[in-house]
Amino acid sequence: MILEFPGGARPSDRTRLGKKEIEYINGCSATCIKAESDRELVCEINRQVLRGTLIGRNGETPVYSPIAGIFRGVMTLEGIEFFVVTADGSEGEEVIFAPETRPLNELDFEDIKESAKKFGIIDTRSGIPLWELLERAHGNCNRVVIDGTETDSLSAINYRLSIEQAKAIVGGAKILLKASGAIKCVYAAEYYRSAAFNAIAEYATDEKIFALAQLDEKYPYGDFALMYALYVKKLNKNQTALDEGVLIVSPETAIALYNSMISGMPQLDRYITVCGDGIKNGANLCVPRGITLRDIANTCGGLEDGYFFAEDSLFSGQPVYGAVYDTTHSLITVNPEERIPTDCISCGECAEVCPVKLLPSEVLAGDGRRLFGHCIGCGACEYICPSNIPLLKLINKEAKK
Amino acid sequence: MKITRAPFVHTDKTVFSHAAEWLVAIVPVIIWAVFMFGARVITICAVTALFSIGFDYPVRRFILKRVGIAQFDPMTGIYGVLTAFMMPVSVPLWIPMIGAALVVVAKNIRIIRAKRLFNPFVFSATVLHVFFSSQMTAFTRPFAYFNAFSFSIDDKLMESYRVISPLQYMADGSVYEDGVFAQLYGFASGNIGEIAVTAMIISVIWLCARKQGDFKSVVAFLLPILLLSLALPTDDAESEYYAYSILLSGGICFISVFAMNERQTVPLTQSGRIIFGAVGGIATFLLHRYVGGFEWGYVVILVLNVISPLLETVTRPKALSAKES
Repeated sequence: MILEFPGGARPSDRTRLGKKEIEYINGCSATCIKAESDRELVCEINRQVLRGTLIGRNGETPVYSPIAGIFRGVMTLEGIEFFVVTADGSEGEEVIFAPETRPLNELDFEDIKESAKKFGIIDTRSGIPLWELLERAHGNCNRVVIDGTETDSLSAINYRLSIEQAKAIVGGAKILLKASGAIKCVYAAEYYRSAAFNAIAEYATDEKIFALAQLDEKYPYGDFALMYALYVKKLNKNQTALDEGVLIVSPETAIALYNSMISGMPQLDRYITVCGDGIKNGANLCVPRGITLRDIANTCGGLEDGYFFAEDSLFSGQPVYGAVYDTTHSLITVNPEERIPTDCISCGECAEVCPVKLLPSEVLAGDGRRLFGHCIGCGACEYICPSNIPLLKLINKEAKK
Repeated sequence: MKITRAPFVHTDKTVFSHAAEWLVAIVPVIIWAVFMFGARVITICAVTALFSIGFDYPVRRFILKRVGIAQFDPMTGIYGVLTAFMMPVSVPLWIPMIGAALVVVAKNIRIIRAKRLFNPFVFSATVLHVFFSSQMTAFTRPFAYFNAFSFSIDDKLMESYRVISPLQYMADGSVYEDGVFAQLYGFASGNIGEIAVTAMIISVIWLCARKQGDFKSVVAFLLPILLLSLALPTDDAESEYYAYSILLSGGICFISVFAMNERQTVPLTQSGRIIFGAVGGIATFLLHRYVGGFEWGYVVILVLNVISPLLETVTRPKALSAKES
């Protein structure tokens, strides 16, 4: 059975990158990892670091250098602060960590949480450190969901990871089950990703704890849509799935946890899709965490004039500045196009695609504040509007009045 | 306005593609009307369409201050043609010109919740019926082809072709005796577009298939008329015959196909549209049956247009996301 959520839009341009294997990019000119307000520098500025050297902390979460080079401290770019490491040509040198040698059944919640913290694993879906998520989930969670859906129809990274790293995903899911106390794990992806389902099913053989969920091909999938599709649960605007006892993580998070426990290496790499018309060679890449956008553009044959990178979703994603963030799954090249809004023709398309079943065009009648109370900001209404009315912008603007 | 925020992608659909779907929908009706009434149909349709566009452009540009492509509303011409469909072929050409002006007036009146107050083509036709009743009810027999370019039809020529429309037959409780198949196939006398029932069936199938029309609201309008006319037949007719005659007469089909699917004047919500259709169907039948003498369906639609925003509010679906605290 194909599960779905109400509304949602189906962009016609299905990804062409699903067949491209992940390319592993080791070198880059610099890495920029976001520094939070509670950051702390551990490493001296301008000191030489190896791949895996501890350079700082965001709160209690350690930040390791993803490349060998010179640590430049915290720098500000477009108003965002980053831990910056520049390459010095000494590729390949890395710090050796001790792996977890105990079998899973001998580990308890605290052991796994501490490992997640020690290895600096960030849930790439939410951007929250995994140890924090586990702490919130422990004792309050009955399901773990591996969200294999793409953030956009152009992206393919979760699909490729599910095929190429199915064993690590299933292994990571088992660790998450153990740590969270959940009783079942669901792998969810768009129904037509049959190769991904087959790969996961090969390792997820225990039907008592693993289930596969085929979802309709529409976007955007977020906590709200996933929870509705899987469990017919309605989330409040500011609620997360964890509030309803469901821990949703990306396949990459499960892989990072599994690999770190097995190899002892912290999370130093990120998996992303680079796609869109503005890039010559779209690709699925494994890159150092915080790789700069310039390095990405160079790797993919250059960014065409007039284009910029937006992260994740063409519907609700944001422009990316400087480097790949911890929550970026796909970098989509976007050309800012000119759209002239005209009068609403009351076609009702916006209401049809709204996952929350709102009538977004009511914003034109001054009902924006009520809408804002429910709107999850997915952008599907504005995408579908034939009159080019900036509905999302208007809803947010009305709410601020 | 350069777009530097999400959504960075936009559907291929535009207001122009929506209008194109409607254009395709009205083509079968135009073809049938030309076959029945000759090339003058094209002249009348062209005059209403071109004058509607001509009147609308300055309104949008100088009064509504629209810019760029927004100065053109591609539906204006469609509304013009739909207005022409509600005229007999014998109208003098100044009637379509006035009709076009009325279309532009109606399409730009937005009072309640920024929604259009009246259906433009129904409003235009209703006003024309009220003020120019004799010209708007001068029906001629099928295949009486008139000169396409004469400004008005000679009165003597007109009288030799004048006939009574099915609606006029039924206004005093009689039944239309040429048979329902004449109505269904479109061989009855009447307005340019309203007699083409088979063509309108093709139109509504197209509109619904292209998601421009809503099949349920069409049924919601027609079903009460069918059931009520079966239940309340006139004295001199079998109930089925009477029911089918009513269903296929005058503007009933036209209203159900085009007015019920004019999205800007009907509720956005599915249940709202069904209520709109059902109330419209009941009221239209009762007025036809017990008052007569006018195409009451037009009036019913205009009244319902006014309360359409209210219906929309009442039937608004409950948001799936509970309001943030």
